[in-house]
Amino acid sequence: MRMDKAQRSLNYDATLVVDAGGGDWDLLELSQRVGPGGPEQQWAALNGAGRRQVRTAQGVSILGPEGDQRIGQGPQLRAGPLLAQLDRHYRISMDPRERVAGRRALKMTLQPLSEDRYGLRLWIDVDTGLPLRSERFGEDQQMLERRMVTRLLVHGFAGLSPAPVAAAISDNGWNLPAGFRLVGSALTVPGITGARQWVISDGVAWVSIYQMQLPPGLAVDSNGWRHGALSQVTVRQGDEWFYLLGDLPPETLLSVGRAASAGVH
Amino acid sequence: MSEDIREQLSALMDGELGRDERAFLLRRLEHDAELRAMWARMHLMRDVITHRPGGAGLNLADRVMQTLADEDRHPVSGVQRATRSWRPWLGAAIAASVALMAVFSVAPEIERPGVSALADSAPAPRGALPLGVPGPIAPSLANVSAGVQPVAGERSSLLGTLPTPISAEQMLLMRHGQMVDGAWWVGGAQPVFARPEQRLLVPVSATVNERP
Repeated sequence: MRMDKAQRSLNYDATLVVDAGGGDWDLLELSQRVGPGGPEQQWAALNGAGRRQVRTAQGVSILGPEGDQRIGQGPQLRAGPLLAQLDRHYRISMDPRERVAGRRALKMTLQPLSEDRYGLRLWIDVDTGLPLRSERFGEDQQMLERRMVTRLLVHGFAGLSPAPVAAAISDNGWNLPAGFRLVGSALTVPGITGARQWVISDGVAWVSIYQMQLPPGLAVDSNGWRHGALSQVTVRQGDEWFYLLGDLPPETLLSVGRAASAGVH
Repeated sequence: MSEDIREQLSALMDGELGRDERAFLLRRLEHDAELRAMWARMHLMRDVITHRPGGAGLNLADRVMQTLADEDRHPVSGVQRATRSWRPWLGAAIAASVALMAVFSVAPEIERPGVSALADSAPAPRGALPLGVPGPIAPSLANVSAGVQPVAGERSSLLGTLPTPISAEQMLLMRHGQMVDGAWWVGGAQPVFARPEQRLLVPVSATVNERP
């Protein structure tokens, strides 16, 4: 709850370092300001191409050397009730004696009870509830992605902004990994005619499932990819293509894709 | 105060900031006294340089600050002086944009009138595509403007009216990041920063039985 409050109502500036493997580090500046429409964020890359991303209730803009792009207003989902069921699928432990970026932090470890998902460690600022560090890990504690705040400037809490779209837990009849529920869907996807999107989550991992038809003769790259904890795979059923994206192992994404392709008509 | 913020203030002063960026920066100005001070100082500097009446009251401290600020800037070209631009980063941005145009010119070529969007649908080498885009998807985005608009901003205006293509994959990543929670520890919250060369290819796609 405190994390949610920090995310919805805390004004802050932070510098983040991100290690998604591969030997590269990304340094980012993140600013959040809370306005009447909710939290607004700006991400700025301090290395590399210097891209920026601005997220507001009105949309997402990405500004980079390859051009500036914007997609308009879209639903923003939160895990909501799913968080209450986390202990069914993760072993949760806490350690209150940690320190990150000069601040007291509570370390929370979510160790998955099955191998079809990643684990998560979060260091949560005791004063504000804002996570200061995160680690996603796979089998045998293999580190996939690390993010840490190295500088935090808190400007205080604003009034609680309007709650985002509540996670609409529903059963779409898909055979999903235990604990995952359909939490959102969109009948349109900007830029791709006829595409649809579903979002599933167990409260920790988030997956988008895009369904689209490609013109005859076209195909999607046969390989998927993984970057840090974010994976992508593709499943094809006839003319329908399912493009899955989320922080799950690729093999689990594939099983989700098969379930979706079997259940979507 | 980072260079990036100064650049945004300059762009705001020049009226060239995108809608979302402008709204965000104004919000930030409301809460940040240091930023407001810089904003006021930049206005003062502009007034002096452009001989506006507001600059007549500059005292010695202001002039010292102005001199220091000027020295901080990179050398500016004659063109920039002529346009009285406030952004010393402009030249680098143009160079970077032009250099990347070669990589990101896939969609405009596909959209040439009279050329079938499907004519060259063979998968392109992965390394030659922006952001690791599965090449064959790109032609299906000929109507990209229906849902994704270039932002009226510095780089867009510099590149003229050329529509900036957005790769299918980048759009899907953006959309994922938009929907799945703005928490920074959630994967995909900042998809644009994932570079294709950092990714690990995994051979796990599947084709399931076709429907009867």
